[in-house]
Amino acid sequence: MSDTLHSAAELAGRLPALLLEAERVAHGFMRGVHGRRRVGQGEAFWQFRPYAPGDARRDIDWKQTARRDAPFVREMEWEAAQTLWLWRDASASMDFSSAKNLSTKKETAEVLLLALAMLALDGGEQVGLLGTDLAPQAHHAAAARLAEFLPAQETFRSTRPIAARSQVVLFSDFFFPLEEVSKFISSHHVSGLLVQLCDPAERNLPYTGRVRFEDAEGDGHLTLPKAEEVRAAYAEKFLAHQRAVEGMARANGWKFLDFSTDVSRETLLAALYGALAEG
Amino acid sequence: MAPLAFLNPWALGALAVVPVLWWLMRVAPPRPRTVRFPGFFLLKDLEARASTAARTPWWLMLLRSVIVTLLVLALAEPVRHIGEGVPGRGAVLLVVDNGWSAAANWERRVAKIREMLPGIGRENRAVVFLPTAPPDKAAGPMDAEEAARWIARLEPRPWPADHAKAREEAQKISAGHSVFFSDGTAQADTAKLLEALPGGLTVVHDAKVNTPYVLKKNPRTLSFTLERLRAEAHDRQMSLVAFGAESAAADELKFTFPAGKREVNIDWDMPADMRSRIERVALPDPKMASAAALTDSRWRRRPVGIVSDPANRESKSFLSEVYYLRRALEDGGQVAVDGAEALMKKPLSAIIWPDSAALPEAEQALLAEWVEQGGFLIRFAGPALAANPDDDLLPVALRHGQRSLEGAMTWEKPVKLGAVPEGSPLFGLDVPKDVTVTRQVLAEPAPESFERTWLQLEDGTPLATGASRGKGVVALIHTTAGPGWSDFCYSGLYVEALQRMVSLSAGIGDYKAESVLPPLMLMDGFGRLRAPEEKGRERPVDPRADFIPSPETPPGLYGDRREFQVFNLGDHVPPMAALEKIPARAEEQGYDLSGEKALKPDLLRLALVLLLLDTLATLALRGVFAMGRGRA
Repeated sequence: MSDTLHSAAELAGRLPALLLEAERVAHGFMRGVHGRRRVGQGEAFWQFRPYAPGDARRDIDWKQTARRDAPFVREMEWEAAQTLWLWRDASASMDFSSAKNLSTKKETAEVLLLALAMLALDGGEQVGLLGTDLAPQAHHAAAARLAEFLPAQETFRSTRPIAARSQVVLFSDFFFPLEEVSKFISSHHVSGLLVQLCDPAERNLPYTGRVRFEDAEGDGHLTLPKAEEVRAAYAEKFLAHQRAVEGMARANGWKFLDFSTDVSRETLLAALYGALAEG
Repeated sequence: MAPLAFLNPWALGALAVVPVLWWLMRVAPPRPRTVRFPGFFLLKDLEARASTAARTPWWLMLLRSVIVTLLVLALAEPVRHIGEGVPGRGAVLLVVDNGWSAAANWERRVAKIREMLPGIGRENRAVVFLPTAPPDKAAGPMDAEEAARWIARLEPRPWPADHAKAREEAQKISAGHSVFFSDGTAQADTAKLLEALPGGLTVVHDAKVNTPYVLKKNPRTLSFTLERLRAEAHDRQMSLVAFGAESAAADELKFTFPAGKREVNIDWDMPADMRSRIERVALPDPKMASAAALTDSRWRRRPVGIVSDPANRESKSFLSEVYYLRRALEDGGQVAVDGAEALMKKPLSAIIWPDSAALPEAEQALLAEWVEQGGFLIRFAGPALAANPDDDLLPVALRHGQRSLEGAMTWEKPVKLGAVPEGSPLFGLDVPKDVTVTRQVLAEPAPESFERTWLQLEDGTPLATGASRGKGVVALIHTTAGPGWSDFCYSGLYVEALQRMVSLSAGIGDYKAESVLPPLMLMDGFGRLRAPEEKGRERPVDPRADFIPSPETPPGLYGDRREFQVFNLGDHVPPMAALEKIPARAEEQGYDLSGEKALKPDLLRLALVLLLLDTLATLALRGVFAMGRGRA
């Protein structure tokens, strides 16, 4: 009982901080980009243009036509109500940072996830969390609700159907057998994005001297008398693993992004948004 | 005297632990730093590529072995240059000369005593101290540690030691062995004191450390006689330092103490302006009260007043005279210009009365009274004085009318200045050749006028005269203060003569106070100045009686700020005699130090520093200071 209370209080304290940080990151980004800037089936006015054969009669703006010599048509901005499905890995390996001034991979993933959700909601899209019971959210202020359900998110296997026009974004270090992801991608015919989030220490193994390494998941340990001896070999293995993840994404028509926790979150969000907007 | 000895040699056996420790450290290396690492699954297969043996780094093993070795050595209590200790058994009586002559190289004396104490402590013998100067009394018995604290508080005294009284006290003390730390001087009772010391006897004395000096100052001038205990085989380069207010060194005089001599005369030709600021002259080494001389009031700065009369304060001739006087006195001290009555109220040591200031009779009477009380009046001649030469306030009687050496009425040429008479207080000043006097007032020829002449013209007529009057002095310059009658005021002699007269102003004649003088500023054994103790044992001195330096009347300055007299120790000590007669039973020693030193504290300090290093190294090995710590 007291445990539940305690974690609830912790959650209540943590949520606004996460949301605020996500809002800060998203806000800085939104100032530059707004709407789709394309003609489409939205509610927002886009422009008037002269009538051309083939235009529907109900599109003619009679007020404008009365003011001018020729008929004019009112065009609306393109709006597509897509659903964006988001997931971040919550396994123990994500709970790692190599230095005091770096945040953990999990924290970075959550901030990016929420910031991206805010951008999408602001653009009129629906946002859903994979692996939770929450229905996709559509209104502007739904980010708080997403943040509430985020701690409950574990697996990416969805309990809800994923519509064909959806997009999926998975944040993880992908330090687990890749078959699961591969199965998920191939079973859903949606476009998507794999974001591999790593700590700088995981790329180049900066440790020296005698070091005992323990598995983050509690899966054994080993002691190296001189950690620097294996640095080059480790970096090679890391790159090979990363290429495997990327290859899997490409093979299924998904995109792949390589993120580091020591890069500013604004930069990461911009890259993320760019990759999504392209298609 | 062994170069190195161990007080607890058995402790060295513990050194056998070091190889065991070495082996243990080889077997059990320190814990590695631990990192929770998500990339572990990538590392797993790489283990084979790494070298396997995990060992304690050799430098860490060395560091720890050194620490243990140092600790064991410290336990064994090594002592470098261990002394031979004091012979005999039972308490040790340490007789310490601490009269004025012991101040020379006092630190060395104390160092010698301190070096002897640990050896006495090791034999668990008690220490009794017997200082020879009053009012210090015998102290003890005490243990060696307390003795070290006690000797740090003992100071040489600025008065003679009393060996007769010390002998009386020594007879009451029982001890197994006595050590006499002599300052090298002997008194009438020294031999008897040495006889009376209980137990075996060691006499510590040598000519290198026992070098007392006595500085005697000539009361009128800055010349000194410096005496020492023994003549030396070589010339010794020495220096005297003059200290101003706040004991700041103002000037230094280097001189040579010639070989084979026991005394040397020193004349210090110091600029007058500096002279007035000097408070004390002393040998910088050795620092002792007998080699320090306080100077007295006559070298102090003296303020000067110029009399003006209210009627013609603004007149051209007065302003001109004041202009030249001010210029002459500016760097000699403060100059006040005011009416005679106002000047009387100020603390002035000299007053200048220029001719153009006509004073009413009442003010002249005031001025005469001031001179009687000890003031120094300098008058200048001029038309007013020439018209009324029957003035009373003059050093010599004047002839009626002035002498004019130029113009249609006379045939004589303007006269140049002559040599300064030998008895004159202005003797020694340079007389310029180009100064001429065209007019002056003439002194009535009289038997005493010759000795009252301070400056004269080529033909022998006085230009400046001076005479005592009551406690004070009246001086007259027989020409004008300005350029009216001569070009004297343009010359350097005008400036120097005025300054010399002002500097004489506090001390013409032998000044003696007539009432008892309370202590104002006293000297300690090292010749440093100190304030008298409140409710101390110090008493006022009667300046008419002989001054005897003692605990009740230490050397120093007595009186108050207005009236004071200096009693220097050097002028009031009997001639020094060297300690020659040493009883046959005594063992003699010099003040050389054996350099005995317990090494335990240093070893412990070093071990502590290395231990800190070891802690840092261990932490570094665990990765406390490096990056890459995984979060739990």
